[in-house]
Amino acid sequence: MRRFFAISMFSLLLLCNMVVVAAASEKKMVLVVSAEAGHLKLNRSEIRQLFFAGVIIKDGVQFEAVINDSDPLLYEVFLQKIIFMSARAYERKLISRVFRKGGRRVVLASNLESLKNDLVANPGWVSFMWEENARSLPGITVIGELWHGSVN
Amino acid sequence: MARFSQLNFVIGSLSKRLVIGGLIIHAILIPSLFYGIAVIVKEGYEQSFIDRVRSDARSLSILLSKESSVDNIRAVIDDALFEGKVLFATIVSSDEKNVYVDDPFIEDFFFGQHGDGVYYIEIPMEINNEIVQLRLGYDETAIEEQVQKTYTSGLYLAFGYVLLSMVFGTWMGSQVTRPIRELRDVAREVASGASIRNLNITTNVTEVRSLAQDLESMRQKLVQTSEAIASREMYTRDIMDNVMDGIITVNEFGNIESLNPAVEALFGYQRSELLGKNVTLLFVDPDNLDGHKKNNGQLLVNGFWESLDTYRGSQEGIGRRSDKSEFPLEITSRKLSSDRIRHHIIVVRDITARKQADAEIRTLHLDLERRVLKRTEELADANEQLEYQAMHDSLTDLPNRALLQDRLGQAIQLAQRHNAPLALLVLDLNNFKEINDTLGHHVGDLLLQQVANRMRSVLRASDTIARAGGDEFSVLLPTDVTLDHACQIGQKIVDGMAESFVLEEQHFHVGVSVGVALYPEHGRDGQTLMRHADVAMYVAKRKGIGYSVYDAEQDVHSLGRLELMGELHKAIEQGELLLHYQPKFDLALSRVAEVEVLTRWQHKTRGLLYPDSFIGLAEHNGLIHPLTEWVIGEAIRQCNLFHQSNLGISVAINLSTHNLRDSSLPQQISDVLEKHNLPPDHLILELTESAVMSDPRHAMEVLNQLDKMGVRLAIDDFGTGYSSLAYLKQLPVDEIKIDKSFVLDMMNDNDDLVIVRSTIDLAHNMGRKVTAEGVETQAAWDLLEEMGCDLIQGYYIARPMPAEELIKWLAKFQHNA
Repeated sequence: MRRFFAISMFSLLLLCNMVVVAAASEKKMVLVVSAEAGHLKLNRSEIRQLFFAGVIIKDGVQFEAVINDSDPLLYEVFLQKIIFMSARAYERKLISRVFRKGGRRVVLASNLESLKNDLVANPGWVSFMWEENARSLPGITVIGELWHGSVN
Repeated sequence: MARFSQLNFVIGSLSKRLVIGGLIIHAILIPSLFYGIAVIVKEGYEQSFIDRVRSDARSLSILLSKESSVDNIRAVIDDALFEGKVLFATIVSSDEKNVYVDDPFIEDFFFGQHGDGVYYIEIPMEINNEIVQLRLGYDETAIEEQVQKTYTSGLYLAFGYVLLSMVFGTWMGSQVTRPIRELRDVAREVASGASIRNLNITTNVTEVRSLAQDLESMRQKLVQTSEAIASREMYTRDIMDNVMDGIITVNEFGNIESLNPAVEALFGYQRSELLGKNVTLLFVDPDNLDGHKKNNGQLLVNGFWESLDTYRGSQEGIGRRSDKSEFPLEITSRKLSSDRIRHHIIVVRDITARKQADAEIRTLHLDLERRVLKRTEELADANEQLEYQAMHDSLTDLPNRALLQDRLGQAIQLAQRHNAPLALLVLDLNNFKEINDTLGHHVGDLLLQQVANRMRSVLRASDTIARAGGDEFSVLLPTDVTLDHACQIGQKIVDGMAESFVLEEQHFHVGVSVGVALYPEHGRDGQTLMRHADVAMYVAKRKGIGYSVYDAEQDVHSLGRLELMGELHKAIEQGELLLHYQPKFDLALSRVAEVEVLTRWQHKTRGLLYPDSFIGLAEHNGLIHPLTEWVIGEAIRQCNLFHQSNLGISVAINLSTHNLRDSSLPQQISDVLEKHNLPPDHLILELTESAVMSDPRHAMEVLNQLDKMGVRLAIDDFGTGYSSLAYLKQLPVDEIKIDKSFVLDMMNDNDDLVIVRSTIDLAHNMGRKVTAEGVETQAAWDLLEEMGCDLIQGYYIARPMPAEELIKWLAKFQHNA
């Protein structure tokens, strides 16, 4: 009985550990805007257009992308799942687009706190981050899921 | 420490440091450079790989999305796998069931993330309206191999580069350090003083070449300086070796460090015997160096040098030779100021000779002092005697004029203070000149002495009797004298002189004239009193009375006389004097053969003055000599004119006693004769018996000189003086002039006639010519011609006249004759 209890407890602990590890490796990358921007719906094509320095105007509001560079893993996931390019190719693409079509270069945010402040201050700005980060930042609202999966 | 020394030895040289330094720099920089390049290249490869993977996966997912059949999908996937880029491909349904291929899958987001050599990527796509996940695995090994190759190549290149750098650095180091080593070698030679060769370094390195030039310049200066120092040192050594003084240098303990040969000679030691020894060995008692006593026994070491430190100048001591003999010496010590340690230079000099000389000098000095003292006493006596002589007349031993004036001044001050009168008496002997001229000065001097003695006998001791000059005496009655008393004294003097004086056993009567002046009545100062007493004396003499008291009215004449005396000097200079000529007729030749020169003074206010008015003044004031000089010059000049006019006339000039006393007279006459080119026999000099007899011996010398010159001489006024036939016989005279008093009376007085005749006979018998003066009648002319007189002169023939008139008169006279 005692052995059974011990094995049961060990198995439980192992299961919990596995759940925790699994939960830790599962990530969800979400699209966020300022809470003041209200509810915004963007399909995948619009998202790509937005992050390739394009401008999306909805309900009279002009939306612009902000690249979240605060987490290298997040950035690589974003490139691999959304942009489908390497970081260098993406940057060349952005620069090339600016030179070809004009406009403003996509803003690059290397600090999560400053990204939040920028998003709050600019309701037309759209960016991406891990969901847990988005939930912990007031004034930020998640408008869609970009990707979720394991990052081990 | 040992390790550091070892390391320092290894990298001690410049070349090693250059090589090792270069190697270290390249070993750090070059691998870093190549590593950086490799990293960049690796990143580039990886980024290109990822870019291609993501792009390719998306393209593949799009391509598969368009396929609906499983076979087509499999065909596309197989095709992708066949190309070799994709190692793994799986399509997973949304419910995680492997639809087509069942392979393990862990997605990568970075190159080489899981170290499995495969880059796994998952792409969502839609197949038959079902969202599935396309999982692909791309081969990372090609990229890894390429990166590895890059790293390997970089490593080889870096190593090769470092190796080359080491070789090149070693070569460069040797190239740079070679001339520096040469510089070092030469610098060492220069420093050792062994090299005088030029520094010739060939190098292209500017800094080294510049350093070589600087070093060469420095070497040349060093060589020059060394040569100069050596020369200077040799010069100094020569001085030290040849100087007579001993020179010793000692250290702070007084031990001898060096010495010159003179020290060896002075003290008799060898150099080796003295070096290192204490210098006190050479001195008998070091205390003598400064006069201080020994202090706590430190004298021989410190005390000695303390005294020398504080000593300034030279001092004397006693030296001790090696044979223990002693000698005096002079020691001079100085601290060498350039030395931090107390070193001294001592100069010693043997002063034996000087000491002996000092002793001799002291002896001589004492002797000299004695002599000086004695001579001082003699000089004091002599001064006293001179002072006495300066204030007294040597002949009469009476106070002279200077002392009289001094006493007179004092008496006047005393009289002023006590408001009491005093009297001054001036005396002059009446016939002194005649006695002096005829009997000579020695008789005159005897007379003066007797006069002085007689005056002493008649006056009080408190009265001052002085001889003012010549035959002039003065008497000062200094205290409370009335006019009557002064007159009594004057009379007393006159009476005292009345008795005859016996001179050379002959009796002479000498009268005296006394002038009296009183203070303050006749003058308030000495000069005035003297002058007024003098005036009174002249009045007494003129009037023939014994004494006279000064009267202002009488002073006019005296003043005029004194003025005349002052004007005579100017008259000679300004040509106011002139000559008149009186003819002398030669009875044998029946013509005028000679003229007598007579001086006249054409005075501006007094008219024509005759010799009686000023000759006496000239003799009294010393003007007789310039007057005679002028007369001789003018007469000879005029005689020359007569001679040039063929008148055949000689000129006769009168000389006085004073002229005969002048030894320069013959030369003076000779110069004038030569100047006017006149034969000397055309000049006749007339002199009286008295003038010759006053000093016959001296007169004889002058006359003999004149006679030798060829000048003719004549005795004037013969028969009136105290002439001596003995002298007359010896005189070199050519002519005798009979005094006119005999000629004037010979016609009436038989005695005078006898005298004239006898004189003519006497002169002729002695071979002299005779001239008769005072011929004023034809009878006298005839009688004289009958008696054989040679020349006649007088108013009957002609009065004295100027030269111009004489020439006219001669022409007329000759014509009438």
